Amino acid sequence: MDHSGLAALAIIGAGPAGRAARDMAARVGIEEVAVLDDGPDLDALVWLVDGDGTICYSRNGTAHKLTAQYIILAPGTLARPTANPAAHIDHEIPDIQITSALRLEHAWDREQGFWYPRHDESLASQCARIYLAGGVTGRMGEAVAKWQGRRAALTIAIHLGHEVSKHDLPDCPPAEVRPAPPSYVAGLEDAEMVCPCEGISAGDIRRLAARGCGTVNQAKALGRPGMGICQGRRCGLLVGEVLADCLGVDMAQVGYFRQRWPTSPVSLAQLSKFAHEDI
Amino acid sequence: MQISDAIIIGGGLHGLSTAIHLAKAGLNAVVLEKDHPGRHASGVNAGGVRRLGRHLAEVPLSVAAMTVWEHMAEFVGDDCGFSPCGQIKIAETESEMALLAERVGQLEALGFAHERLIDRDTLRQIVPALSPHCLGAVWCPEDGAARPCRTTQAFFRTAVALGVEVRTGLVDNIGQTSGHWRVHAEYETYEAPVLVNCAGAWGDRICHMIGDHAPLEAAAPMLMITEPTEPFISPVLGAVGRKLSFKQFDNGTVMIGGGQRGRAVPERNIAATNLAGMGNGAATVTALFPQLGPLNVVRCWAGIEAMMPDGIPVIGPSAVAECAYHAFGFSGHGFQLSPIVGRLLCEVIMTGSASLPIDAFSITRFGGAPAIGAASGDLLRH
Ligand SMILES: Cc1cc2nc3c(=O)[nH]c(=O)nc-3n(C[C@H](O)[C@H](O)[C@H](O)COP(=O)(O)OP(=O)(O)OC[C@H]3O[C@@H](n4cnc5c(N)ncnc54)[C@H](O)[C@@H]3O)c2cc1C
Repeated sequence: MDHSGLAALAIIGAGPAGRAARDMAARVGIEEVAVLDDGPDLDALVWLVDGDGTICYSRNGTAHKLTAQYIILAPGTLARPTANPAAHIDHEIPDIQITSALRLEHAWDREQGFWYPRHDESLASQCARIYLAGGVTGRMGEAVAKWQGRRAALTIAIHLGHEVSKHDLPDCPPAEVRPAPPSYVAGLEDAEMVCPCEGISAGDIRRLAARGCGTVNQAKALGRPGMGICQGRRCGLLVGEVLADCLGVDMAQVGYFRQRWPTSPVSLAQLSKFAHEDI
Repeated sequence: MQISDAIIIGGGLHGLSTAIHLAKAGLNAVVLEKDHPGRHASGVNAGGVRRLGRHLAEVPLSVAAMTVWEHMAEFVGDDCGFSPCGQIKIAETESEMALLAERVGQLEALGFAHERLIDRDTLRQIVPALSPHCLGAVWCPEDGAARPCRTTQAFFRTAVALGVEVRTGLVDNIGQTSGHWRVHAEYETYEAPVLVNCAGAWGDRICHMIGDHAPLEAAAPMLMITEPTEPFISPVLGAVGRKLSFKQFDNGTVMIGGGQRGRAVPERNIAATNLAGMGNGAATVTALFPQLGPLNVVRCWAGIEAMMPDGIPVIGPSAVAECAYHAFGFSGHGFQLSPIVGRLLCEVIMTGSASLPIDAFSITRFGGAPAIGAASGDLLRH
């Protein structure tokens, strides 16, 4: 698939939600739909999304730009990172790297222990052109993901002036209820790494808390967790959890990293192709 | 109601520095900060400690600030990560070279010898990795870079240790009662005979509250950082003909900045980056260091900074109100000046005049009413 650089709808993520959105878009007749996913089939790693509809991605080492009228963000989930990478824990959390860099507002799900971007019933995010679907919303299970993908595509179809009928979309199926995850900070030794990229331990975060540091972004500024090559994917939650635990406050109070573009590394040579772009 | 000798609005480096100097002069100072100290420009900048290329009006201040940087631990108990790695500004054409020579001559005529003109061979020795087309440069070997976050922390700790009260709160109203300033911030009212505006990119709003006029533009200068690579350059590098400020850290990562701007929305604390800025920065770097093409960028950010139309700050008394003072509008280069401006402002507040020339920075240059009796020292000597 090659993109002309313009699309009516771009779908980021080709998991169950993204594929359901694509199928629905095809059914209601939206043309010019681009699906971007970093899996081997599509090989399109998105590293920048702008509220005005610009998307940048890399394919086989080459950077491309696409401008879409509407975007469905369906980047799915990722495995919950832990302090000890060997202790793999079977718990999925929303992949909020892009939604956080977009500065969407996020909410903390206390039960499930993750952040998710807020949206309304039509899956619209706070950005007018951007919709959310699937695991990124924190509503788990394939059935819900597919429904959300269809729903988002239908709303966009209406905005684009397509005819849709209410039979196109049945009611939302119930979300899968997952067991609450274990506590990740109970018994975490001071010496254990919470940010392996920058070599920051749980003890380092606890010392920052003792010095009056009250949010993860302040911790990032003062101690560098989240500034390494993984761009905060591995430590974002853990830094917050250690901080919240130490201060005896809710996660909502310590917050999440303000993530930055590019959300995946991109070379200077590729970036320089976008010099003098007018956005 | 909180009563003190001086209220300083803004907990960036200039607010904290002013507070430190006022406290040392024996005043009871309160700093009001709407977020947390160092949250904005002061904590997220490029850390360049540069006299090189300064506006002529800034040169005496910058030179004086440099002597503080060289002994920073004496001022704030920490060297703030300052390293005198040098700053260099390269010329790529003969006409750029001529501009640099003219500039160095101008400084020499004024008695300043910190900027040195160097030829192609010397440049090659200092930065062997640079593209061979570069013809020469101006070099300040004693200049360098420091850690903004460490610097704001050290200024904050020093201020607190001297008894300065740093309070969280957004100043939303300023009035006067019987010769005192009355400032409202987050459920609390503060009163003091002296008011200092160090509100950075929000400085014009404070001006508005006291009746001054300053045509400030809030901008969002951008910075990018790469993955680590082998050490290849030690000085901070800029260029005459390009927007560039370029530095490699000890951990091997490379910081790229120098003039690309994103979008600033000061009322929402937003400093957004943009693709064109990232692209322009990358294109500049790869033109000068072609071998860096494959190096990955991992993070891009921006800070909110106050730009004045003439590119120099506002420092000194209000044009319209007595016992109100300004230090804002540093236009992208206020980090290096932070240890000195607070001192000069303190001198003006205590004695009515400063030990270095600051007239060029007067807010009256924007057409406000002429300053009314700057000498407020008497009011303060208890
Ligand atoms: C990306 C970037 C790179 C830079 N690189 C360099 C460099 O290499 N070298 C250099 O010398 N300079 C550099 N600068 C410039 C330098 O950072 C600034 O000039 C300097 O930090 C300004 O300090 P300040 O205290 O005036 O402002 P700030 O640090 O912005 O502080 C002002 C404070 O006032 C607070 N405030 C505002 N309004 C109110 C209110 N109503 N109530 C309460 N509080 C309020 C704000 O929250 C803020 O914390 C750079 C700037 C940026 C953004």
